[in-house]
Amino acid sequence: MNTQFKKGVLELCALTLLLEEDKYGYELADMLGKKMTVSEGSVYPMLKRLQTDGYFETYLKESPNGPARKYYRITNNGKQRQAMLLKQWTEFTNQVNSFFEGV
Amino acid sequence: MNKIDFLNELYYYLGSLPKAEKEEIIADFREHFREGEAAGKTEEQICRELGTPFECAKQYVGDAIEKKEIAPDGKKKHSKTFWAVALAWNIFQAIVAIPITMSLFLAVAVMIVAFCFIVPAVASTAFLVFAISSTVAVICLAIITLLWAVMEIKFCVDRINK
Repeated sequence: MNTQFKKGVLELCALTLLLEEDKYGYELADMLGKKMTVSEGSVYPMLKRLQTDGYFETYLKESPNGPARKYYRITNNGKQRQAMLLKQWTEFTNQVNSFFEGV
Repeated sequence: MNKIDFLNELYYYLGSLPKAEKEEIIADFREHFREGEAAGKTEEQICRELGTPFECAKQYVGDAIEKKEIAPDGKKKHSKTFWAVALAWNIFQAIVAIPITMSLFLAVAVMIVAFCFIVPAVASTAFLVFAISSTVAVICLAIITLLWAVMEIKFCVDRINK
């Protein structure tokens, strides 16, 4: 899959995962790595980028075992971004799918 | 690859990013290892799922990172071809160059000793001692250079197999 394309989709998935509840890095990397063919190592650079762009905030929270974990919380900007990307994605897949109808 | 190697290499490839930023990134990955291990994975397994440190670093640094010619340990990194050529050169030295040079030296030394016996007029004791000791020195030198060449061959083979 094209890298830029994949990057955008990965971003949408991460934003969507965080809509439900705050998650820590490993959870996100694990979920995205399992469901999509991405290396888990590329999740962290993306999280950092989205944080820099103001779509996420981070905070530390004690974990039941061991040191505190870094949690990611989606911001209002992030929610807007997610809605916009989802809209683009739906439009795009609809357009692509229209080619396959009746084939 | 284990955790320490991964983190060292990642830190290295993050290159010129501000130190605080690099340490924050390393902390993220350290946490990832910690959680992965808590979930029962081995360091090797976690490394495999993360991808290479170079690929991870590239996404932080962007295109500024070019495949550096320097290895993470700060030594210049050579290709396998380089080590193959070095290996061939060392084998040539061990089998051909060193024996030939050394036997030439040895021949000259032996000739001097022989000359001393044939022409007794020149055969002063001091001269004879000099000739014999230089013969011994040449033999020692030959052994040392040969051992050295063998060590270099081993080094090259290690590098090629790495």
